[in-house]
Amino acid sequence: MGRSFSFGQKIGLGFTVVALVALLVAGLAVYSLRAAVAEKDRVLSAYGRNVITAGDLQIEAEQRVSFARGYFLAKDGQFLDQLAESRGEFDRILAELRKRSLSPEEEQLLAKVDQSARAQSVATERVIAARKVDEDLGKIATQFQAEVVPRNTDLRKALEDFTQLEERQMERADRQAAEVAAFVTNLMIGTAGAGVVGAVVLAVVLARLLGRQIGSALHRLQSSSSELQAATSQQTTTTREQATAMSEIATTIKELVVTARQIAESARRVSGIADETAAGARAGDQTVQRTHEAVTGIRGQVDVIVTHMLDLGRKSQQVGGILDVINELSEQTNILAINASIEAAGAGEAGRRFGVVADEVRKLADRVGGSTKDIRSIIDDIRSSIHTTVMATEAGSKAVDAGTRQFGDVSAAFREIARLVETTTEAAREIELSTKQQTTAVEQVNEAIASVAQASRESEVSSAQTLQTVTELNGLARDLARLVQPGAGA
Amino acid sequence: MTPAQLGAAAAGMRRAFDQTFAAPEPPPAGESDDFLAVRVGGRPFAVPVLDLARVESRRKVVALPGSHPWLLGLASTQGHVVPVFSLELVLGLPATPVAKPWLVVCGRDEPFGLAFEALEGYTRVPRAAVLGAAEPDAPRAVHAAGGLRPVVSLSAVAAAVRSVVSGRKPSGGS
Repeated sequence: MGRSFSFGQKIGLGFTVVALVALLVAGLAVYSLRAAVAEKDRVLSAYGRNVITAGDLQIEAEQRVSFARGYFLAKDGQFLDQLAESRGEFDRILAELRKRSLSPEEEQLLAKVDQSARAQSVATERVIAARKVDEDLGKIATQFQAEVVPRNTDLRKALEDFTQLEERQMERADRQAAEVAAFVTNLMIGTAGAGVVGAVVLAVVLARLLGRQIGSALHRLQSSSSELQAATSQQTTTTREQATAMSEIATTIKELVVTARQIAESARRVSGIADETAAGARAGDQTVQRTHEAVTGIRGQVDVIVTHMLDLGRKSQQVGGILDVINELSEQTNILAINASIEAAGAGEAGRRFGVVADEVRKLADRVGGSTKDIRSIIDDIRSSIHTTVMATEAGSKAVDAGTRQFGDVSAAFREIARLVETTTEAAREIELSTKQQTTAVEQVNEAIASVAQASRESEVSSAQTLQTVTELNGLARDLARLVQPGAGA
Repeated sequence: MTPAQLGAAAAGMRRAFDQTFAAPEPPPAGESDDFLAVRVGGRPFAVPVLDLARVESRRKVVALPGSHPWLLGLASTQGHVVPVFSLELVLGLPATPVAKPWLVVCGRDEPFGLAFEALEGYTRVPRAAVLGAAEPDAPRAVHAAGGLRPVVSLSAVAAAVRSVVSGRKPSGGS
């Protein structure tokens, strides 16, 4: 917890503790001395007053004896009055004395005094009464000597006992006061010694504690100074590198400005090309429209071709039918010729020429049959070709239909291209404008980078100064450590 | 065949037909026999023309219920109704049904028809070229319509048909 106090607080706290110890010692001494003196005064005053009062009582007792003797001798009533007055004074002093705080022994002695005084008074009154009626002084003297003097002696002795008691108590109180004073003196000496020892111990502890803490702080200060020196050195290097990097950045930004201007020029050219592309797209759209019309015409011609080809197919089918008839005729002719040959063979020699004709007819029918087969084959080829042509034409018609539909798509695509090209043109213009703004901004950044480079160079100079200051601070810390802890700070 | 070739073929046919009437009567040639090249049950055969009365193409044959399997039915030819027998069954071949078969009519006194699958040609063969012609009862064969064809003996066929019609067991095939 001591580490939370500052050095000034710790030193102040140490001196405060020493001052408090000294103040405590002084207070104790004053208090003890005052208490001893007061006790002594109290004892001396009380017992002295009691001794004095006892002396007063003894004086009054002697006066009572004197007044009684005076009355015995002179028989004067004035002595009785004085005697009564002395008795009253004696009683008053005794009563006053008994009012004080007394020990039981003192009470007992005062009771004996009172008893002796009363016995002395009674004896004196008897003698006084005898004197009043008797004139014989010898007798009175004897009675006085017999009755009053012993009582008086008893009273005197009681008073002396009381006085001696008071004197013994006063001596004992005096010894006690001296013992208290000696105790107080020893206590003061002990306390003062303890204070001195505590102050010395406190001084040593404070010295060691402060020395250790200051040494630790100086050690940390040296370490921090070394680290700060290294950091400042590194900062100087970094600042130098930063200045170099800033110069490179400035060069790069200049190149960036040039590039941005080229981009702006390219964007302007792109805008021009986009305009030309839009015009081309519009021209393409018109061309597609014209081509669409041409293809529509082609589609009509294809329909006509298909119609004619189908008609040709039907007519070739008719030719096939006619050819069937011819084939049938040739077959019938062949059969007829065969039957004619059979009849001619059955007729013998007479039917020989008829058989020749029948053979020729049969041969002719065979050749007709062969020719009809050839024609059938040709017609089949024609019909197959017509069918293929019709199929191809229909496929072409469908392709034309699909192309016609696709022309709409192409036209829409051209319009979309034109719209997109317009968008591209607008975007290229925005790019051009943005690039110009970017060029301006980059130039401003270049100026800012130049300012930063200047600041970096100034920071480099400042870092060098800081490094020098830190070096000096490190030397100071080493010197201070050497002062606080001799042998340290090497 | 191109149209020019067709025209040339037609002109050739016309010229040959005209020359037939323009040429002088041919001198008597050597002995020869005429044959019909037919296909029966998918096989080629030759039928001698001299034994035939007529040839009919694709005649409708009306079947007779409960008749012999050889008898396919009745057909009309030149105003007469003739019985029609299956030549392939007569020849011992498996039956191949044909809707409208070709017919050859045999026998002038008791004509009957023989149905076959197709007529493939008419050929005249020198008698010396007929194989087996030297022996009277030997089977014969001729080269006709691109191949060697066995000659159907219509007399034997007629005998077999008659034996079947009369309920006798036929004596043999061709």
